[in-house]
Amino acid sequence: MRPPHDLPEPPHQVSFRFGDEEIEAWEGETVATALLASGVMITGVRAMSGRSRGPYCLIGVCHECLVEIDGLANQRACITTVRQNMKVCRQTRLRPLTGEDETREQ
Amino acid sequence: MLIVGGGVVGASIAYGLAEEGAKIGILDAEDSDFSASRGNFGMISISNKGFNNLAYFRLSYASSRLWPEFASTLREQTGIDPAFDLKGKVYISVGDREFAAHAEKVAEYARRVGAEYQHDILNRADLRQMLGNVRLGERVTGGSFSPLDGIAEPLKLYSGLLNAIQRHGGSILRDHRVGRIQHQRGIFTVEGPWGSLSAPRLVIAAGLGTPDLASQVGISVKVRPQRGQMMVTERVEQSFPYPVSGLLRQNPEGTIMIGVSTEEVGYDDRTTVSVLRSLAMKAIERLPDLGSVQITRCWAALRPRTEDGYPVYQESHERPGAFVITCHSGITLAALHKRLLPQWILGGRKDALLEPFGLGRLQSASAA
Ligand SMILES: Cc1cc2nc3c(=O)[nH]c(=O)nc-3n(C[C@H](O)[C@H](O)[C@H](O)COP(=O)(O)OP(=O)(O)OC[C@H]3O[C@@H](n4cnc5c(N)ncnc54)[C@H](O)[C@@H]3O)c2cc1C
Ligand code: FES
Repeated sequence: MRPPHDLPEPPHQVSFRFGDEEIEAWEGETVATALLASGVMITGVRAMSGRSRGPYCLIGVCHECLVEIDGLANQRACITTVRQNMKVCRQTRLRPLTGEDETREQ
Repeated sequence: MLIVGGGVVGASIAYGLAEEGAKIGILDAEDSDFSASRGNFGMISISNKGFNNLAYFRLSYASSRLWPEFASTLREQTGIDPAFDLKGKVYISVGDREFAAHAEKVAEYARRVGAEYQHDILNRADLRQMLGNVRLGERVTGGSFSPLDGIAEPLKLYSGLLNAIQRHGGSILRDHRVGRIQHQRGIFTVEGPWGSLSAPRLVIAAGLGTPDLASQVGISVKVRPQRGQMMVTERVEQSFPYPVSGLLRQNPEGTIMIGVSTEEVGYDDRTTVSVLRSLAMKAIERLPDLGSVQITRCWAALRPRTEDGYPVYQESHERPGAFVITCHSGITLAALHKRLLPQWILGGRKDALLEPFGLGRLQSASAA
């Protein structure tokens, strides 16, 4: 969520990578809102149909906003809070089942 | 002709009737009503059917043979592909005792059914090879593979059926719950808060709503709810090529379905953490790689279940022209229902495969 305008102190700015781009965001907001505010509408390609996808419901339900974050696929951009220097990529493939166990947060 | 109940069973019959040229109307209750047809696992299950009732095995097997043509006709007529695949099914046993019992049961099945019963026992190494990349749990001792079984996408099947019925001129009336059935001079009149409709023939295929309606045409039948819970995961790469009996299947777009419980809890279609957890543990015990996969949705639905678990195909003696049809494997039997029930309902002969499933039977054996 974008920070309200009437905060007593201005919120901190953070930045993260989206592919080759540097995206500016407010601390506390989600990856999806930061991307949308920067004009990024397409966050992935559906592996089976080849169709472009982008954030839709923004409440974690529709799974249209899946991105890869720091190497992990299937992350919902709309319920993931931005972190300084995180690496976000458009998701274009299905998540492999094997080989990710060690890194995945449970 | 009127069909009361617009689940997969009513819709399969209606599709067949409409294709035969009958003028049909389906009356279905509210969308919020119990609906097994919207919450099932979509397996065409043969290899575990009718252990104690050969006629039930034969019925299910016959349906599986009709499924390829049923699915392709549906796809051609509607453009909706029920994604039917007679790819077979794997069973995975955990521990020596379970494996031995499973192997014994498969052998006994083969003795009872005969040559039609194709089902091979696999040791751990064979099973591994069959399942491809995915790791087997440490306690998996072996399993089996039966090429008799298949899968479909149940919601595609259901929407395809409804679409086909309308293309053949049939009407589907929603929010038309039937309360009362009257009969006068060979004409049935069904009534509800929405009004009334009449026809000379009536099919009651209303799932859990069947007993109340059947009693109004002089048929006494018990149907009870049996809850099934399941989960669906995030999309992942294709990981295991065959469904795992009663437990796992991966859909073409990558989601994995983990099911299915069998619970006697009355008219309660809520999910419970304890049951879902035990399903998930069973899955991980067999395929540990699933431990990292996120669950995205879970649900429960109620199976309409007859007293002995076998289907009921019964015409009323008291009110000829009224038919009661219910079963608990409406996906497996969909192809057969479409092909064999219409001719009987339209006044022709009742196929020999259906004969054993009138209410006259008095068997105490329970269905597998
Ligand atoms: C969790 C689960 C997993 C399953 N897995 C499989 C599987 O893998 N393979 C398989 O073959 N089967 C499976 N089944 C069983 C299968 O789903 C059912 O056999 C099938 O859906 C039953 O269809 P139906 O039309 O009889 O009942 P329902 O789908 O319950 O439909 C009955 C319809 O009748 C309507 N109705 C009721 N009363 C009235 C009334 N008075 N007036 C008008 N309309 C009325 C209801 O609103 C409803 O729409 C599963 C079931 C569950 C719950
Ligand atoms: S936008 Fe719907 S889940 Fe993220």
